[in-house]
Amino acid sequence: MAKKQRPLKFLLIEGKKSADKAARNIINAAKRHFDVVLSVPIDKIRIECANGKTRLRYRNIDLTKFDACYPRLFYEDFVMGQIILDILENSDVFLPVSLDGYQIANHKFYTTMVLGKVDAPVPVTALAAGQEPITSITESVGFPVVVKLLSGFGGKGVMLAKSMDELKPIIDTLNVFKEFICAQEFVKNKGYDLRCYVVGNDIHAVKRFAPKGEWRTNVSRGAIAKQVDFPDKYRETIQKCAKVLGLGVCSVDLLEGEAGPSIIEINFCPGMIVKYFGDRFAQIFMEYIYEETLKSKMLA
Amino acid sequence: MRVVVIAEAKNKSIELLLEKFEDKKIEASYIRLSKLALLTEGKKTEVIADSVKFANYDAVFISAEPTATPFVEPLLVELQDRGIYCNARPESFYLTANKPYMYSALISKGISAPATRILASPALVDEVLPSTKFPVFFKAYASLTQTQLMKVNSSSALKSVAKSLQGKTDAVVIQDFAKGDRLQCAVIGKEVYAYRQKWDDAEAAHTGKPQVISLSDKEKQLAIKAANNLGLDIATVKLVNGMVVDVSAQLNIEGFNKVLSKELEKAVVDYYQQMTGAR
Repeated sequence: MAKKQRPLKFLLIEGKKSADKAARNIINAAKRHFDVVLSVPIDKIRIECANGKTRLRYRNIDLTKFDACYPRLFYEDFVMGQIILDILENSDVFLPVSLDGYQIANHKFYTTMVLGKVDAPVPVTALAAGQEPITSITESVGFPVVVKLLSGFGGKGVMLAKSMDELKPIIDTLNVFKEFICAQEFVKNKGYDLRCYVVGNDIHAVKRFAPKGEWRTNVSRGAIAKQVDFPDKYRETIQKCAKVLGLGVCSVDLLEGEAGPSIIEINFCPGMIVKYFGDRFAQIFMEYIYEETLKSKMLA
Repeated sequence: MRVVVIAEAKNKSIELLLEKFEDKKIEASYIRLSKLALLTEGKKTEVIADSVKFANYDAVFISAEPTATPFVEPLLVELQDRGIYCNARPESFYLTANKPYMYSALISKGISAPATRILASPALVDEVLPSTKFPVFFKAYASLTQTQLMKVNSSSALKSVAKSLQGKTDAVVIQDFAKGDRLQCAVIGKEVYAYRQKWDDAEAAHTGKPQVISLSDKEKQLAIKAANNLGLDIATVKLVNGMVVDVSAQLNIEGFNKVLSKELEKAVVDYYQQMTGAR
């Protein structure tokens, strides 16, 4: 085990949708490794920009003086989140994530485009700037089609349309709310997905089984989760997905479809499925963050 | 060179630009942004654009509102990957659409801008009062939309404005008030065209007839640096008292032409020829 030589400080930044249990588990796990642990809700943060410098502050504490930070930020935090990540990336704080990863992972089409470019298996996905290209898009994507809000999470904002008659009211609704239309090929699967928690070079897999009558596999929608051995055949693909987004910790969701595997999405701030696994993933994440912090400070 | 001009509407500025491309015998197609789609299939991403075949073009001019950012950003990445020249680079819309992020980025890159405090919540106003010199601008944002803009002259007024804020607020900006006339600058590559608008205390705004001015070298370089650092070759940059107060990815060619009695569309076309090596 790597040795530390001086007190180490860890910062958790909690986004607006941060779940109390997950945050508490991370803090408790962090206390096993770090001498100083601070948890700051995002709405307590301020940034001071003057004379060529930007300072990230919580009360009178300069947050760029920590050794490591895990910012659990969601799409709702986008305005401040981009700034916080930009400042942290340009500081000496060890970050297990990246600004690029935050921007891309919170955009369902952008994620697919970027992963496709590195040859990860992705479903056919389209993004329309308006209603007009929808017909040609759906001809390319085919029915049934999954329509997604760009930044939905927990299965929210994900709709299935089996025909143009079903698709049209969805498109009309999205237009009313001035949302861009992301349409994706429906991957016929075996009723479960594989959530792959990437933690550095390690991958921990959880199978999530959709409840009866539901095609989405979110635990928040009643899915059952079970940790399984990670299938090594997907290792290179999953690691490549995390790497291209600059994410040392994240989750990659994979569907084992009839035509082969498909990467459906990447989560910048994955839920830790506390209901089934307690603090297991918090411990794993914090162990990694600690070891990497030591390496980054050349204390290993 | 073949150019695609993408805009949310074919307004006068876009018409002027298209006419100038035609005058110079450069093939230019216009497509309305809402007609566009991106389609990813495996490694390949296609730009679906009505009857316009993107593969045949080597340059794109894009003019879009900040609200188009979720579509424009992946499009900019795709254009860059294909080697198609565009007036905006990836990240430029993320930066200019999110104004608090823009101020932070400008200042961190050493670009002169008014001192800015960005608060995640209006409840944090008390924390910045001791170090704040008045007057200031108070700006509130819900997502990327500015919901409040006020000039505030005292601590008590600032506290009162912050307290009275209603509805969703994702960030509050308290920015030093830069006193002086505003210079509205059209940056087109290494050229800058500008006019001035005087500050009116009574109106608390830059009003009055725009006046043609010559920028100093320093002001010119500042405007270019601000645009370039935010990923833009063509932009509107606002300066007050030697500081950058705003950068926009859009350029109102018609508006500038009227004030300056120039043809900025010619400057844009010349710049595109230069950037694509076309003559």
